[in-house]
Amino acid sequence: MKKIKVMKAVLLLCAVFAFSSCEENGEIQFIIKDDFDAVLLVKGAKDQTSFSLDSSVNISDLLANSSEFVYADVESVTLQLVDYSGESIDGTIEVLIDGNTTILNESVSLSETPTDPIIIPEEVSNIMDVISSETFPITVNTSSDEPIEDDDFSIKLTFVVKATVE
Amino acid sequence: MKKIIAFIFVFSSIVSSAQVDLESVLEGGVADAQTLLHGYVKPFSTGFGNGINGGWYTTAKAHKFLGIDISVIANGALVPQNDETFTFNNADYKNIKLDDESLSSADIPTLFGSQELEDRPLLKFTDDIGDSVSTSALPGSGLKEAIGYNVVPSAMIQAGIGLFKKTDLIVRFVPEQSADEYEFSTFGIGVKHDLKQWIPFVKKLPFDFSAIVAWNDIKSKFYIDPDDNPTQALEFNTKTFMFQLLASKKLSIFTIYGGVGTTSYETDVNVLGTYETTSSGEQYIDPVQLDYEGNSFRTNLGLSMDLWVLNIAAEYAVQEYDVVSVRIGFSIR
Repeated sequence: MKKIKVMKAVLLLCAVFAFSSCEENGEIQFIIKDDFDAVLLVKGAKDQTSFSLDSSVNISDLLANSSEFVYADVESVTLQLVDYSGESIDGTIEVLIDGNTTILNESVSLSETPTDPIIIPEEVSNIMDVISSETFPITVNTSSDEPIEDDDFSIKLTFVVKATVE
Repeated sequence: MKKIIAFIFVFSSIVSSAQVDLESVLEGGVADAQTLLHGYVKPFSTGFGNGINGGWYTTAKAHKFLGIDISVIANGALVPQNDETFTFNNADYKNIKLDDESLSSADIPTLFGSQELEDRPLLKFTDDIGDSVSTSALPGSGLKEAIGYNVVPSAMIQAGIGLFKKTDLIVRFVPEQSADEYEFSTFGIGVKHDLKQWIPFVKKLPFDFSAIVAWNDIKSKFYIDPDDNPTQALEFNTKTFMFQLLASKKLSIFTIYGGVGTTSYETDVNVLGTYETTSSGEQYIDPVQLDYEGNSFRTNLGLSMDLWVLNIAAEYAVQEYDVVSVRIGFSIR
């Protein structure tokens, strides 16, 4: 989670100079783009070809602690294996948010090198329902073309979140 | 004067709400924050420095001996459209860059710029350990949307007295006003001297001709958290200088006046006090200093009206930022 609050700070400091009550079109809006990691531990999956994981990530520090969201979506996700003893996991990965919204379901090749950012389709990228809460519930369903070679490793998902805040 | 003090209170109160976040700015890099703020605030400092020199006179004619005038002056410096934005260059910053990596520079709003999201590109702030967050550039004040134009207001109280040899001494003075949350004072002095009397033939011509030299100093300080952190303050100081040759012609109750000369200003905006960052515990003393200075040719044209001892005047000055001034007061002898 980020400790940076620079933008908010600069905004407030500079607003000093402004006649801040002058805006006519409602609250001033900002777009904030931030990212956070979800590291999901995979245990006992060796020799299997599929596994499912559930996790919740604390996102209270996300987006400079903003609270008044106008719009929020997850722009992309990057996937990476951590401490995996094999080469890679090739197969299909499905990522759900809040247990019922599938934001990603496609074939990937996972390794210890992060994938290129996978762009989340606009029709499923809206995360307004969860962004205001302090937790981000994630479900990952993976099916591998070959049996898993490790019994204890992790999958790291890096989400890039973009929000319009007031 | 009330406008200045009102502005100061706005200035002060928002800084108060920002003090915790200022420490975060310092964690993100003082130099970058200072560079960003310098461009963002510049039109205000420039406007204030230009505007404060308005209204020193409403005629080239000097008072008779011990003649006096007392006036209230309101100035508005017009911010030109090209100062509604400033250029953000990636190369000028260490920890702040444009989020769009295909760009090396972009125009972003100044204090008098747009509030619209589409006019405010994302800036990416990265800390020393590589964490980053991107956010829209700072918005403008919304003043233009609210009143139709961008203007930096200022106001003054001024008194003049006629001395010897057709020379006026002009004083702008507010003794130090202080309270728990602010300090404010201003002092300015000007001398206007009739030149026509020294020029053969010209002294018989039916108009007035003189010169004025004027200097002004405004000091203000706003305490961010006077109860818990009495050393933390925002300081805003401006010094101005003006020299002009003046001419005027009285027609019944009206006087047309104008001048040509130069004007200059020096403004500094400082964040004073000791600040400690939350994560590193590092202390910063007087962390932000923004300095501005400028000078330009100045020419103005005005019209004043005398109704017995009441004097009302308005003028327009062409200079770095054009300035509109109105003045009302009393003038005797």
